[in-house]
Amino acid sequence: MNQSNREIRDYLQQYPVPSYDPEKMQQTIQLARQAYCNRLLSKRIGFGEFIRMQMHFIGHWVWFTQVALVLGFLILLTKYDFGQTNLQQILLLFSAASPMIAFVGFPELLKSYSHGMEEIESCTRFSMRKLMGARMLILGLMDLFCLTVILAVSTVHSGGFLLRMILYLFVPFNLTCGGCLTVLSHVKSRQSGYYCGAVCALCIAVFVSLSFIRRYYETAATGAWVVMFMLTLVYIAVEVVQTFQSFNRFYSKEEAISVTWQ
Amino acid sequence: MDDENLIRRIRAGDAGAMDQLVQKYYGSVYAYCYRKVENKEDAQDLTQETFLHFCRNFDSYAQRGKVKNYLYTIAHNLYVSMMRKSVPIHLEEWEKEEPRNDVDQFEAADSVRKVLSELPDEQRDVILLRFYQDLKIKDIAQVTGSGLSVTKCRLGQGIKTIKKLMRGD
Repeated sequence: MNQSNREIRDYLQQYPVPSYDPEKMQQTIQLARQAYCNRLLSKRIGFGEFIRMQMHFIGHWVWFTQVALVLGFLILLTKYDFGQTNLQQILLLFSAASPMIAFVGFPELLKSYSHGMEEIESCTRFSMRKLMGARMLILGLMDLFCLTVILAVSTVHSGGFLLRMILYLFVPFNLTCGGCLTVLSHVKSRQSGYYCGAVCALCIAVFVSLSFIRRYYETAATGAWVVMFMLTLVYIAVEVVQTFQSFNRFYSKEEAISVTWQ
Repeated sequence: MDDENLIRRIRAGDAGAMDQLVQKYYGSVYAYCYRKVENKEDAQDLTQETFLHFCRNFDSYAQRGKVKNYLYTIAHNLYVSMMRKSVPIHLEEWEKEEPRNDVDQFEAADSVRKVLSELPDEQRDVILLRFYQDLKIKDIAQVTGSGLSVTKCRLGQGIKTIKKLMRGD
């Protein structure tokens, strides 16, 4: 620094800074420590990361059961000779497999309620609605993946009629899914799992019985199946929305959040 | 303890190291903030906000330069956004501050304050960082977010203006 700049510095140094309050500094230290410790909580989590995090909370048995169901279906399918036999065996398998695939994820969705953990989960960083939405999305995508594998293999083995295969596979699936979602949106307790199981068993019984009546699966009945497919699709969409809304409704009841102290 | 060690400890999750860092730089950041806002209360608030901002966003701190310079940068940016939002500054505070027994000293400080207030904001920033915080020109450029030559130019112009005002022109 040259002479001229030193003069300026000396001149500027005549403007002193008043001393700070030590309490304010202590307060800053405390708040800084708090902000440092809380920074992980305020960190934004992307959608992909959130879904990945939630995948870890889904029990391994769900994945194993899904894989076992698909493998079981494929093994049984390859045992039949579709060149000679009629469509009945494949329909029988569809009627049994698709409701089961739909049902497998529900005990996992109901886990929070059946284990009495909903109160704790609703107090965590993410709302119950978000958590359940993420789990529904993951399990739904897994179900779709399984159904796509089954559909692709069945179509290749039976040699055609993809549209009818989609209808025969998805109608029982949609109906079971919608029924279980109805249960989930109305009953949130340990018993919900049994009710969902009953819905699944009923759907299997109905569609297995139907698979023995040949006229319901003839080309002429395709129109009726399309209508049923559309109706079940609307039903499932309505139930998804209602179930999703019911997660918030459950926790915003006035009597649940305000307790009169005596 | 040097800054590198402190930062390493903070990264490892040592909250005590964060306390040490705040203690180490509180005074210099406060002095910088005070000369910018010219008010003790606002300067303390701005200093606090600077450290809180640093802590909240610590994970994104890349440690490319000195920690002190980074803190000055945060303080500078917070000051700029505070000015944009037109947060009221307690102008009467100057009168209320510590009692000054020495009238000459008070007059000298007041004259420096007036000289500094005559400078345009950009030149004032450079002068504050150069003569009060002892920063090198390249560090000043980094804090203010300007180029090296622009900073040099502003420093030269600022010095020229101060000299002129010192002479009473």
